[in-house]
Order: sequence, then structure tokens, then C-alpha cells
Amino acid sequence: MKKVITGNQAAAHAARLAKPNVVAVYPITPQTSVSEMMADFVAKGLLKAQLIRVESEHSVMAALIGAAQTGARTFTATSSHGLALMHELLHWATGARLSIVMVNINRAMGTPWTIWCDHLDSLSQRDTGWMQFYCESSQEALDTVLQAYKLAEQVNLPAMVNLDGFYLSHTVEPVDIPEQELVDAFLPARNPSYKLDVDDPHSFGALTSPEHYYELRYKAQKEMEQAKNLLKQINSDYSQIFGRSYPAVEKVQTEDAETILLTIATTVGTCRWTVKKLRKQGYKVGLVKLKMFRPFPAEDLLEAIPEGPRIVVLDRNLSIGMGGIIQQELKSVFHSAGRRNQIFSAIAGLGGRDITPVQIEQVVNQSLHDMYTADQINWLGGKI
Amino acid sequence: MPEVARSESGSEWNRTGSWSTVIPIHQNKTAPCQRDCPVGVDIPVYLDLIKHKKYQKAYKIVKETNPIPAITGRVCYHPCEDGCNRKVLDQPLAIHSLERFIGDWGLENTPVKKIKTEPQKGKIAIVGSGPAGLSCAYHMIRKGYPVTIFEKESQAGGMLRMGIPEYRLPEKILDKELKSILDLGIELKLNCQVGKDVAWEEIKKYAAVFLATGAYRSRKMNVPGENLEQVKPALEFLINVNLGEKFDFTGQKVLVLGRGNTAIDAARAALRCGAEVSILSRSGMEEMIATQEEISLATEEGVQIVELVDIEAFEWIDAEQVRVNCVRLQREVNKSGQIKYAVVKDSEFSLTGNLVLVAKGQDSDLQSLPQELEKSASLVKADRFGRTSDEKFYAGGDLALATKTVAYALGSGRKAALAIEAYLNKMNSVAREESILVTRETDLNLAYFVKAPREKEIHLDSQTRRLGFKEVNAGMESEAILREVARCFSCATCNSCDNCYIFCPDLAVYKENHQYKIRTEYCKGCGICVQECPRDAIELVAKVGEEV
Repeated sequence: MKKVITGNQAAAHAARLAKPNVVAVYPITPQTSVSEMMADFVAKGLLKAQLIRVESEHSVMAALIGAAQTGARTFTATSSHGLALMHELLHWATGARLSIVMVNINRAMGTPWTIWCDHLDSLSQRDTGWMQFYCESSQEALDTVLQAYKLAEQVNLPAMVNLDGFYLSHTVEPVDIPEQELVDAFLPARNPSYKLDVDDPHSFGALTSPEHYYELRYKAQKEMEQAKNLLKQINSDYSQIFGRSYPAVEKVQTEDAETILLTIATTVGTCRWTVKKLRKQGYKVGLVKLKMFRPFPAEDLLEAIPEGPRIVVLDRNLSIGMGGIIQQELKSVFHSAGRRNQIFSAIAGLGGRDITPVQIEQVVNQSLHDMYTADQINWLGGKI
Repeated sequence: MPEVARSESGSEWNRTGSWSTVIPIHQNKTAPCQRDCPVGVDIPVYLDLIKHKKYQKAYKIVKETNPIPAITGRVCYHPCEDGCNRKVLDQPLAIHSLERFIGDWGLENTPVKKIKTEPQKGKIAIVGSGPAGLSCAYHMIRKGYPVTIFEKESQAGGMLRMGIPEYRLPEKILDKELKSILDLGIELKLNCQVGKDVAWEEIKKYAAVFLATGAYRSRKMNVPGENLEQVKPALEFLINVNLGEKFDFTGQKVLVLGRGNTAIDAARAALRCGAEVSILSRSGMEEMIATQEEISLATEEGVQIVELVDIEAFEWIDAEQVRVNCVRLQREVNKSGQIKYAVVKDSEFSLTGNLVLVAKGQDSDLQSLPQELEKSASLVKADRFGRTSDEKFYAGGDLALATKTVAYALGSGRKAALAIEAYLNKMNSVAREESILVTRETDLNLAYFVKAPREKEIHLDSQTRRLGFKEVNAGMESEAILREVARCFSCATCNSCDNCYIFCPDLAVYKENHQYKIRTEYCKGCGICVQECPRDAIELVAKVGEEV
């Protein structure tokens, strides 16, 4: 059934359809309406789950870890500082190999205090071992939450689905909300191999000597690498049932492109429009959408972008002292593969500043005329 | 190697209980409401039963100690509510409303079965059929003793009937409660004053005697003019009203002297007879002995209260009028915090009234009691179990207690019954002492309780109240009763909430036959169960042989 809803509502509907057994909530702008909607679903009997109101995001994740350890399917949503407060437990969820699914509404980090969008909150959690997905539309948000459950439960690793604060969380668009029976067919109940069970007591996560720790990390790495291929299968299944799929890396008019824009989340939409416009003007421009950040789809990226075209990475984040995080990862992959594409880095839209088509045209032009070199940051839209 | 760090073998071999020096025990302490109840009613337990709509069981628990809950629910000044721990969160629980509810429910739904007594155990004589006498009679017959009550008046009930106005305690409730006690098989001899209609020698033939003749002698003021016709004891007026005499004070001014509940009762009764009423109180409003609840009900109805006034003399004006010469007092607090009242210089004034009702307290008539019993100035000397100087005689109620309330009277009757049983069975001790461990507010985990305002009782509007003696307080609606009882913390009382069971990180708490037990071989003594018990029903104690 199609409904005109916000990104937050789409995420909440997806969570409802996934039938989690335990939902822990703690409010934070711009995520709060997800939590509220989950509470509403539970109150109205539309979702049979334990809804736990806790005193902080740290406790949210602790509660979900406990619940997931017993075999429950779990859900929560957070944002920015809430996510940062969970940091310690994000590592724990990975180490315990728990398939927790969390929606993060991207919001820049304070201080100064801000509630608007950029991606530093989730990208700062890069090394916690969570799978990370970024969504371009509300429909994609809904579909990605469902896919994330399926994937997380196959690899026993947690997954974070990211939505741009306000651009996606609070704007409305038509979204197809699938029927429960279809979702049930796609996503069976969670049944992990290891559960905390009072009738078969074992200790979990106890002190581990150097004899064993190393290999447990290795196994997690191998499992997450598996996720790249598993996502392809999941997309294929999903497409058969629902008619939609979202590859980890999507190519838009890249075949003859001399310049390829690469970005994530809602900026992809703006780029799609701008690429069309520039094509009409005769520019050979293409676009690569990076949907999955962890595991980092190195092979897919190398396949999507051939030797030759220059790449302009739009990073809506800043790792101070280094630069944009996505371009850094991309350079690493391309350099290791012996690729010599010029990779330009633009930092745009920090703290919720709009990334406009004009800016995108400007950065494409600048890259064509070598207005800046590959090792300099282009402060796109900055008043500097 | 598994993908997660999980022990391959089970963890039951790890007897973590060996780490601990302390162990939790589930123990029921005493809730402050029960401690403060002079009758000793097990309040948290019967309230929990009401919560679960188990009214028959709840009524049974109340009746274990209190024979007349429908009455005490109406007239007791509920000291139980003063110490209620709920006041740290919002307001104390309205325990009296819940007691009234269950008392009324019991009267409607519980048939009284006659008790078969065992005459060989010894017959018990009770002198006086007020709350103390009724309570002792009730508890004695439940223990199987034949009981006879001697009452000098033509109706039973003592001060319940004579002293408490209809608008606080309707006669039909009183009659029903009396019937529920007497129908157990108690013999009641009315119009039978001991010492006059029956000799004390006859009474002494009983195995034990409980004296509960009350306190009906109004105290004198020792002020000039107090013997004037227009100056009367307030209690006498109340008794006459309660026995059905009609007074019409329309257009008249009645002055009530006193600061206790009798003063309030007399004032409100006079108001209902048409008078304009003022109470003259020696103390300030806040220090009056009457409860604030009664004071505010009286003022709502239109009773004037003049505080800090002393009476110097009464003067005859004419057959209809009397002048009351007064002086103003001022409150002085000395270093130790005691409040004294000092006369304000040149503050004399006078008030004129048609009737003055004096409520300065009552004393007992000690002359008519057996000579050999030791007495103080106004009371029969008795210990806390009512034991007098003569082992056969026990005393309670207003005759033996300085605090003259229905609840204390009921409590004295119950304790005397325990003492009489011990005496007749040659037991060395009377009864087990109740636990002195009382749950304080700091012992509770308040995180488990949410604020909910105290429910209100339905009161007749103040205009209608003035027109007659209809019951002022209609109690709480049934929905409000359930909301109110849900406010009870169940202090000190395990109500099987499962918190200890759920929170124990070592699965050391388990359930057996609806009771929680501790697996001592796994309990680490961490105390989480104690911390997470909302109501202080579980406690850590040192393990035997361990020092903490």
C-alpha cells in the first residue's frame, strides 16, 4: 500500500514489519518520531514486542545486547550524540556477534550545538564492526531496514541503517509499505546458533586469553566480507518479492564518463538531477552511488569505475586532520589496486548546509579545468 | 572454535556462591502503616488482596484484628496514613477509604456463623459494650471462650453510639457491625449496670473480667459561672442528639469551647440544629487536637473557629443569653520547641451566646469500680496488655488509655484478649512481639513507582450538610477504590513481583510453591535483588560463620 510518509515513518514501518521482540528507545532529535511510532505500534497492539524505555542510549544498546543474546530480534533508532554514547557497546555487539539492527538518523556532532545533517556521527563508528548502509529515499530506507535484518542474521553481525536528518527523516514522499505476509516470507524469525538459555547455561564473552581473541576477530572479518556477496543474493530475493533492489554500488551514466561523481545518501538524488542537466549541456559526467560503507565494497567500486575517468568525491563529513572519509577509503582501495584515476575531494554540506546543483556543477567544472589538485580539499559551498 | 566467545561446557560447575560472605533472605518486615495502627491491622496484605479483587480474603485479613472495619473506615483518625511511605512520592494512601470499602463489602457479603464455644475454658465477663469491650469480646469468642457483655444503657455501642454523630457514623452501619459481632454468640445484657443491677461479686465469678466502661464525665473548667444553665458539657449535648432528641437552635448563637474532636462534633451537630456556631480554641489552629480534616469540614460548613482565646468567666445576662468573658492568648515557643500560650495584656473582650458547650475532655467514673483495683487520677492502671493490679481484671479503652480514640480502644481489647488467654492457659508470655524492623522510605526503590494523586472521597455539599444529619462522606467510587489501592507500595511485603527472580545475574533466585528461594551455591551476594526489590521485602544478611 502506498502512503505519503516521512523517512522516519518509513523506517518505523519497516521495523514493525520485521517483528522485533524487543525495542529499546531513548529520544533524540531528529530520530524521536521513530521511537514514538514504535511505542505507538506496541501500544495499539500492531507490534507484539517488549518496548523498553531506558535512561540513555548506552542503556538502549545494553538492553538490546541482553535481549539479542537470548535470541530475540531487536530494534532501536538513534542519532548523533546518542550514537556516540553507545560507542563502547557498539564494539560489544559486534564481538558478541549479535545481529542487532539500528536506524541512525544522521546529524552532525556538537559542539557548537546542531541538529542538522552530516555523516560524521556514523562514520566515526567506522571501526566498531557494524555494517553501515546509507539511504537516498524513504522507500530505500524502508527496504534497507528489512534487508539489513536478513543480512545481519546471516552473518551474525550488527547493522546500522542511516537516513539523512531532516532531508529524509522529516520530508514526505510516497512510500510503498509492503504486506506483512510478504515480509514474513522474505524474513523468517531469528534463530541464532548460540543463545543465552537458562536451561543450558554457558558463559558468554568471558575473559579470553591471547590464545583465542585474535581468531575471533579474524572470523568476524571473514564473515563481514561474506556480506558483500550475500547482499547480492538478498537483493535478488527482495526484488522477486517486492520489485525493488539496491546494489551496494550503483552506476549512473558511467560508461563514457570522463568525470564521475561519487557520493552517499540523499546527495545522490541531487547528483542524479545535476548529471542529467550536465549531460544535456554536453558534459561527459557520470555518478556512482555508494550505498554500503561497511563492508566497504572495494571490488564493486573497482568494477564500476574503470581506469581513466577522474573521480569527484562529495564527502558530507570531515575527519579533521585528514579530510573526507569516503575519499580516503576510495583512494586506499584504488591505490592498492594500482589504479591511477585522479580522485578529487570536496567537503560539502557540513552541519546541514544544503548541497545544491549549482555547487555540483561548479565542482565538476573545477575538476575539468584542474582548478585544484588531487591532494587539496575543495571546500565546496564553504564561506572561507 | 565457535564464532562467539562461549564456554564449551556448561557453567554449572562454577559454584560462584563460594565467593560471597552475604546471602539475601526474603523476609517480611513491618510496614509503617501497620506499625502505626493501634489495632495492628495487616494493611499491606489486605490492600494487595483488594488490588487483585480478592475481597473475601481481604475482609478476612482485616477481621483477624479489627472487628468493625466499616466503622473504623469512617471514624478512625487513621494514624496509619501519617507514616505512609507514599508521601515521599506524592500523598499518603487513603487507607481509611479502602478499609471502609472492604468493611462495607464484608457486611453485605459475609454471613456470620455462630461460634461454638467451650464453656470449660472459662467464661469471660466484659463490662461495657463500646469499641474496647466489643473488641475484647470478639477476640475472646473467636478463641472459643463464652462471653457475656454487661451494658448499663438500653443499647450497645458505647461511645460509638453515644458520642459519634449520625453524619459521621450512620446508625444502620453501627447496628450492622454490632450484629456481626454479637451474632457470633456473644451474650449481651442491656440495662445492666455492674455494681447496681448486678453485683461485682457476681462478676468476679467469671474466669476473667475486661473493664471498658469508658470516660463520660466531662471535665470542669474551674471558671466562674460554669454552672450556669446555659453552659453545658458538649458530650451531654452530643449524647442527647445521638439518642434522638431534637434541638431547634434557629436564630441562636452557640459557642463551643475546646480544641479536640468532641468540640468539632458538637459544633457541627449544633450547626445542623440551625445555630450559628463558633469554636473558641485555646491553641492556634495548627495545634488543635482535632484532626485537620475534621476542622476543614467544619469550617466548610460554616463553623467559625476563633483561635488563641482563653475563658475567664461566664456571666448571666438573662434566661436566654450568657456572656463569655475572654482574653487573647499569644503563642510562645521556648528554647526546647515547646509551645506555650501567654495572656496578651489588656486584651479582654466578651462574646454573647445563647448556649455554651464545653468540650475540655472527659474522665472516667472510677468510683463505681471495685475498690481494690489500683487507679491513677483519672484512669485504671493497666499495662500495655490491659493487665491491672488484680490478675483476673483487665482494662482497656477510654477507662485505661490516655489516648481516647476508637482505634486505641479496639487495640486495647485485642491485646487484653491475648493477655486473658495467656492467663487462663498459664502461659509465660502473652504473644510474640511483632517485628520491630520497619520499612522506611529510604529502604524502598522508588524508581518502580509513578506519581498518582490520592483519590478523593465524595462529600455531600456543605449547604445540604447543614440541613440535617445525613452522612457527609459517601466514600470512594469503586473505580477510584481500585486506582487508590493500586497506589499502595506494599512496603515490607513480598507481592511476588518477580524482580528478584528476573534481575538475578546468576539465576540464583528461583520459584518453588509460589515462593522465592535462593540457590546458595550460586548466589554471589551481589545484592542486586535487594536493590531492585521495590518494597524492601528482601535483605542481605551475613552468612553463618562469615564476617562482613
